[in-house]
Amino acid sequence: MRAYLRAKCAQLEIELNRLQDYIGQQERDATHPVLVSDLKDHLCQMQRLCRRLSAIAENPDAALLKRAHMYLRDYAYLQTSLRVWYLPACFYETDTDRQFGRIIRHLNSRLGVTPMEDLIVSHGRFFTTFPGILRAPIFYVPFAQHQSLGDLPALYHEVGHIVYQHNPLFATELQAVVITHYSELARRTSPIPSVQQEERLKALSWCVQYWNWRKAIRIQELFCDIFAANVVGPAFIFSWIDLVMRQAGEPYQYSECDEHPPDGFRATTCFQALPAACRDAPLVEWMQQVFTQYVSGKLQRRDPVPYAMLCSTELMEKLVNKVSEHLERIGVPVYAGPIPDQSQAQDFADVLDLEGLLNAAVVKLLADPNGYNSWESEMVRRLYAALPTA
Amino acid sequence: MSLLAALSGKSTSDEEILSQLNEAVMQLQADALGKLDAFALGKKEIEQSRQNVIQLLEILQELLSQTGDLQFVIPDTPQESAAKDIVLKLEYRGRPRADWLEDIHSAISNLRDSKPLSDSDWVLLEDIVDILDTELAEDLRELSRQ
Repeated sequence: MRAYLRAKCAQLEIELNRLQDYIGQQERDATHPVLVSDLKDHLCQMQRLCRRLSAIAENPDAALLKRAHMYLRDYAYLQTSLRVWYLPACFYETDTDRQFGRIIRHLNSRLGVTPMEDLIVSHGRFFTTFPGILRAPIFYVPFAQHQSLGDLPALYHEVGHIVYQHNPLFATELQAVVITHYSELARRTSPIPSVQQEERLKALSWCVQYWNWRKAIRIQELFCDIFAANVVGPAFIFSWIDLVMRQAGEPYQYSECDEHPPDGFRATTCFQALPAACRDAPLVEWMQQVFTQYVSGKLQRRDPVPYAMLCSTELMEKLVNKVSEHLERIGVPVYAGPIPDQSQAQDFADVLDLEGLLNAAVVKLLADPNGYNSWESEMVRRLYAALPTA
Repeated sequence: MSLLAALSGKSTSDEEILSQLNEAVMQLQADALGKLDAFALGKKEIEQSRQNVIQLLEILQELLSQTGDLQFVIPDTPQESAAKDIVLKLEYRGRPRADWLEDIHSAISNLRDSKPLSDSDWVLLEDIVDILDTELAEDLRELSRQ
């Protein structure tokens, strides 16, 4: 082990020197000063870990050698953040990425509730975020997204992750909602034999475990859906339903291995989370019909824990209410509508009203599919022309 | 809308907890071995590590003292939430809660009185660090699959 540690330290020192050079290049480039400052902090932590490993190599003791394994894991985490995510995103950032980044910066300034001071965009995979550095996340978007408004509402779900992670109490309080919900069910007396009662309690306990599994990752996903439905309104639901139908999953089935809650539950949650101003709009009713038609015939499995217990309407309403309460408290702007009609969509003027524009895009696409391409191109052109350059 | 964002947040949090506890345990071990100079450590840092470990053990102790199914315990803070994850995993190992409580009580007592930690105290700390390490290792494997 000692020989391995000595060899490893030598290897890590070479790597650290190289990383220092790469970060130095980014610093001279001066495109992402905030990000670079945090990357330098990462590097300092890695250097500190390397010094610890080196000291253990020179003072080998069985107990200390165990610590070395953990230091190596810690180092690997920071190394992944730099070498797999941040530095490639920095070094391969294109003009197109920077151009699209202007949309996200604008979105961020409209929201005014994230810690984002910098960001970096990388085209080439479906919408996702790597917020390893919360004030300077990486946004991954599909190729050619900079030319299109389609799927753009998904970006709000991703921003939701940053808002959630920036407010650690959200997680604690939403977990409390889930636990309280199932505790109350457990306390409710039921006229069933004690053996069945015991089974029921086990099922309720399993539900808590399901929702809180891996630091409540599934609750975080629901938060992001509720956040996006609140902020973007129907355009997010359209985008979400479209995605679900494209992926053709089983909306009423849950899996212990899937970190996302079932699609059926997510869809119901999104509809429930819509701002009151647009809940009864014809567009929303139409989307509900489309989704109902899609899920009709897709049955719930006979799972040991019933879907209705795991994904109950009562739980969903409690979560939506709690998230909406949080969003209101921190001042997240809710989509106030009204949803533009066909003529308003055609002549949509305030392109910097990004959420309005995304809803206009849905209206235009549904009303005039043949005319959508030229309309979208014009709107995207006007959007970039209107966006602040810095 | 992949798992990457949630996984990144989770791994950052897991890394912070592991990093703090592993460093604290290392410092206590270096102190026990009389090797503070080799790691450029002072008594002030050791005292801080001692306090950090006591703080975590006290939260674990409080959680383990609860009766009934621990899944239904509501954590009040992110720290308690992280501690609840540890406690659930300790319990999963099948050892009675009373035994874990006894070990935790002994470790807290020795740390508070600045007495040498016993073998069972060290085993307890190793178990807790091991749980955190396993979780971070799983995060890293998943991150590499993204």
